[in-house]
Amino acid sequence: MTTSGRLSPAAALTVLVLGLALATPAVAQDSPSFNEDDLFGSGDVVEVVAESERGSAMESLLSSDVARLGGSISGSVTPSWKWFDPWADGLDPTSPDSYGLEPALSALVYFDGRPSQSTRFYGSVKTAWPFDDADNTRVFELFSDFSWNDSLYFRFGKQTINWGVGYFFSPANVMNLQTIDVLDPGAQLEGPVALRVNYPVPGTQHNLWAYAVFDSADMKPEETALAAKAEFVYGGWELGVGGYYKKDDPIRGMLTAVGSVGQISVFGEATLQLGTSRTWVTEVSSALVSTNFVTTTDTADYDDTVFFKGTTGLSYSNSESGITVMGQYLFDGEGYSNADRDDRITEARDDEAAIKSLLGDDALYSLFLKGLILNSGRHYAAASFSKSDFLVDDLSFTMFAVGNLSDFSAYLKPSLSYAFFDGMSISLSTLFAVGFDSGEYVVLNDGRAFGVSIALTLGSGAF
Amino acid sequence: MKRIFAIVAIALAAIGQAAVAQDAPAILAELDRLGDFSGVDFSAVYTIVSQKPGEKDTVTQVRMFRRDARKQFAMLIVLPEVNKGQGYLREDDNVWFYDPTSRKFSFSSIKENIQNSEAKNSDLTQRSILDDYDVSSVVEGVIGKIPVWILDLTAKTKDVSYERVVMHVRKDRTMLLKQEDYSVSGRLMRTSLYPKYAEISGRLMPSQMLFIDELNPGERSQLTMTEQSLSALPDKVFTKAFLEQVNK
Amino acid sequence: MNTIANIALRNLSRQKKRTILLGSAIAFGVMIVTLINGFAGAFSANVAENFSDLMAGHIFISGTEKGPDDKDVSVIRDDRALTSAVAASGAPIRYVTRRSAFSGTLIFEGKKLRTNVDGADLEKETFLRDRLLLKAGSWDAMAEGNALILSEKIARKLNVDVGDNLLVQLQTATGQNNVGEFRLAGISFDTGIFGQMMSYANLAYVNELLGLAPGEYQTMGIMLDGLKHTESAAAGIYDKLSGSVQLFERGAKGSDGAETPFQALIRQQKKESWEGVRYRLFTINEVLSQIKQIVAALDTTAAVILVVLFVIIMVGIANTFSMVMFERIGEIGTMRALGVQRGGVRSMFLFEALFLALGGAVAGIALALVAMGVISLFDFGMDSPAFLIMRNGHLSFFLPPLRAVGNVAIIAVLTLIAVASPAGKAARLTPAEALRTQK
Repeated sequence: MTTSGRLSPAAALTVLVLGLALATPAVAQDSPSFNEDDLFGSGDVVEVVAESERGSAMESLLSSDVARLGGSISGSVTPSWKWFDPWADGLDPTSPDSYGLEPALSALVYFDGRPSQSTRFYGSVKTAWPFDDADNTRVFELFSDFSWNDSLYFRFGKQTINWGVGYFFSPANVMNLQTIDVLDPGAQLEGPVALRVNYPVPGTQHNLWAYAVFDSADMKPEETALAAKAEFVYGGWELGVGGYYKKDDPIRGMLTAVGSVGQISVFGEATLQLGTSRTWVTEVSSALVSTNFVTTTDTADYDDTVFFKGTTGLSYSNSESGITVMGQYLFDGEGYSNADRDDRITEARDDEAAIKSLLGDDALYSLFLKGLILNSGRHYAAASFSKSDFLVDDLSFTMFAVGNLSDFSAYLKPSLSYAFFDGMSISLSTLFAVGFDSGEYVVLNDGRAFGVSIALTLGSGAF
Repeated sequence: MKRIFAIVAIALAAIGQAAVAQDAPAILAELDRLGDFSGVDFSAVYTIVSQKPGEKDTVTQVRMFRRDARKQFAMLIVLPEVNKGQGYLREDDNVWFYDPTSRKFSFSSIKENIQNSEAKNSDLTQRSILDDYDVSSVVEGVIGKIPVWILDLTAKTKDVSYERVVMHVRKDRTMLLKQEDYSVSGRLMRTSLYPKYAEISGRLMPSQMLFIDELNPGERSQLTMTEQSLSALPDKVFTKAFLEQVNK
Repeated sequence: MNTIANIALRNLSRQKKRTILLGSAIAFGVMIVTLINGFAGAFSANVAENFSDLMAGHIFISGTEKGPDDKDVSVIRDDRALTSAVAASGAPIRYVTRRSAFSGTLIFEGKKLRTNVDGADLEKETFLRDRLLLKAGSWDAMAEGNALILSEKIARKLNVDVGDNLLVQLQTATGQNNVGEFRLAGISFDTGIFGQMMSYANLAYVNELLGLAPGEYQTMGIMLDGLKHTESAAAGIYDKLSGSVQLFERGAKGSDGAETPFQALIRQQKKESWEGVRYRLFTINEVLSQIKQIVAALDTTAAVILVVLFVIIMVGIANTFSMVMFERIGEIGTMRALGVQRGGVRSMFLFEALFLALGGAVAGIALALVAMGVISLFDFGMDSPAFLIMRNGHLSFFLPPLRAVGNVAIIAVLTLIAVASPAGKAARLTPAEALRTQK
């Protein structure tokens, strides 16, 4: 879930409406004196501030003589233990079915250069231990901002493109290279190389956005993906309408809405697409060795089919009681029908022995099954509830749940976190994977699992 | 938390209250005139230090851009470090929050949060002291070493936040140095001190403000302003594009 | 078919230990759920009676005036028209109460808490003394003007004792900041979820804090001879009132008498303006539509518990039956060899599961009924924290029969689903294969 020290958007929003009330221990600030005699000891209370230039305060933010370097480091050590099917087999705390220790160390380093008010160069690199693994170090963002006449704002380069408004799920998020991880929905997603143009409609908060996305370094002009979005603010609601086109890809249209009902923020997102880039498995059999044991559909057969995906959710946050609630439902029109899912899983199970022996490795079969079943449903829901200062100060409780409503399997993760001091916190989580034998979250967790993990976060922070 | 919002909200209301005083109504009129920021843009860096008994002092620093004429503000967080780069844009009841760590904008139109906070009525909307209060007495006094007029004001209507307000206004140059706010029942609720002023474009405004919560002993806060500016801000400051450009 | 069912029954009795274990798991689940359902069933009726006592009325009239800045100010300044309308309606009235209330922050030695304080004329509202039992302090201390009674929970949170002085920060009816000082006269027994609503002070002082004149108040409560008269009396009083004062339309209600939060929101946003005081008449039933929501929440909780319990139990059942299937491979092979069809084998397993589920569920409901009977024999007394939800100090239950039947059906279906896969596997065994793998 979100790391400590970073506000979730919902929490931050509450903070905003209450005013910036974010607190940190005093640094380099003397405690103010409240003694009137000290304060008004001399008649000299007026200091003259030089007349500033138009927009100088803004300029100091937008341009800088030196490039800023910054970043963040996060480190943690997480021992975890897992038991499978403790409901049936009995839970023996001394002999977990699997256990491990996961040390993690990662860092993001960025530079931010602003030679003039209208130009900015930004780049960031992510790296993670072990460092000799080439995949662990990569350029995460690299873009330049420039503008024309304070009305058209351009960004060119590798950048995150957040299109949807969903929190746990966002079907409109089609341009980023990553999709949202429901376990860490606040994380920044890696984006493609693209050109973005933003036009804020003068005198309003409406915005028009246009994108050209470049997929590879070696491509034809006609392979560029084009997208556009308009955002309107009307009566307490922000509405978005957009479209996405790329040759040989399904053409997509989307609508988004964010607003509030009483104290609750609500959001919704709907996408329609003509055609699909997904292929569905139509048969699983050990006889199909040459095609990885499956036959699949051909995307071309669905070129005239319209697929709908929609999601809606809500968030509620009460800063006084420290409670934040998020909930979201997703309908995925590209998911399997229940009958098809069941048939494929049954086929895979029936042929388990044969496929295993052909693969020569039981673990590969497990991966094969997980790949088959991942995101195969049509109905999903996720929710989280968190309470800060739970029972005692600095202790927070979070309950996270995600469920596949098509096969009634779910993954639940209640956790308790305690911050000892800046730089060290501990989080105790338990996880439950529940459902039927072939339920998505049961398969993904290698069975109806019960797990315990203790994450010790050490010396993480930003600079 | 809400306390800090209250402080920020009243900061502008208290800004710029100076003139040469002859009589009480003239002083109030001058305070009103100088407190009226409806036609100008304002920007500054706000630093708020809050104290609560038994807790560490907390420091919040933001860069604020305001255009009251259109009920707009853009605000960027400087401190605490973990929230640095986060930005807020407000127009009317619509608020956008930009989080640089996810590069996401979140939108909200929940207004009750402000209405429920301690910042009430006069703290949030520009009001006229002269219209709201009658002067019940004016006496001379000294605060520290500075001679002041002590104006005792009583609310004219029943919907102003404080039934009685006592203002200590500097004699030689109209500056509010101290203000005490009383409840309907006559109890002192809040004392505000304005020990430092800045003069900008010939206009006086407090640059240091101290707020003492008289009902909760030990709860007090200090707001200091630096880099104040009254010069016009470009329209682009109040756009999402700006928030995205200026983040860390 | 009969034979198959018989075999299923015999199989169950053959493995007595296992059957009893699984059956009692089911029975336990059903019992819990039935108890919650039964509790929820009686909840609303008990709460309605107790609530009308606490709120001091079955019918309420409140006044709203347009204050400065078009703000709504809650006040009844002159109640002669109300009193005569109430008298003229001929409703069976036991007594009439006049109250003011505010929501404010209590402050005591660095501790703060937001709560509601009701101002009541304790000289006249003598019944309050009978209802609200004090754990500490005394009613006599309420003679002091600024006396206050807090619930146990609030007193504990603020860490106050009888005799302590507390500050209260609030806003007057017109929105001005105000501060008052209370002296804690008594601490009442905690009344559970409604604990926060149970702070009482003298009407005169609450009026003073709210900026109301001594003779004014905010809500008139009319206590009738019984809950059953509520709607007819309300209609009568409304009718009489409509001739003499300005009235709000009676709440925009749905067919069940409840207003959805959404409707309420829409109504609030409708901007209206008027001169003088306008009155609103509402009944305990409208207030209690929230109680109905609690009942619905309890029922939902019961359903969720039912599902969670049964997901867990089903996992057990599914595993057990998988085991059973392996144990009986030989038997199945024999049965198949003797000409029993696939369907028969499947049915045998399903029957076993069904009998198990039905047996467990019926036992569970029976257990629940026994438990209800036993629990309702206890006298918790009127000083119990939960007296609001009780009938004269006893917990009472009402189990809607359809719900019980529904629970049994849900369990039967879930159990059948759990067993579907092992049963299917058993049915798919070919006689030869089954006999070959015989242990």
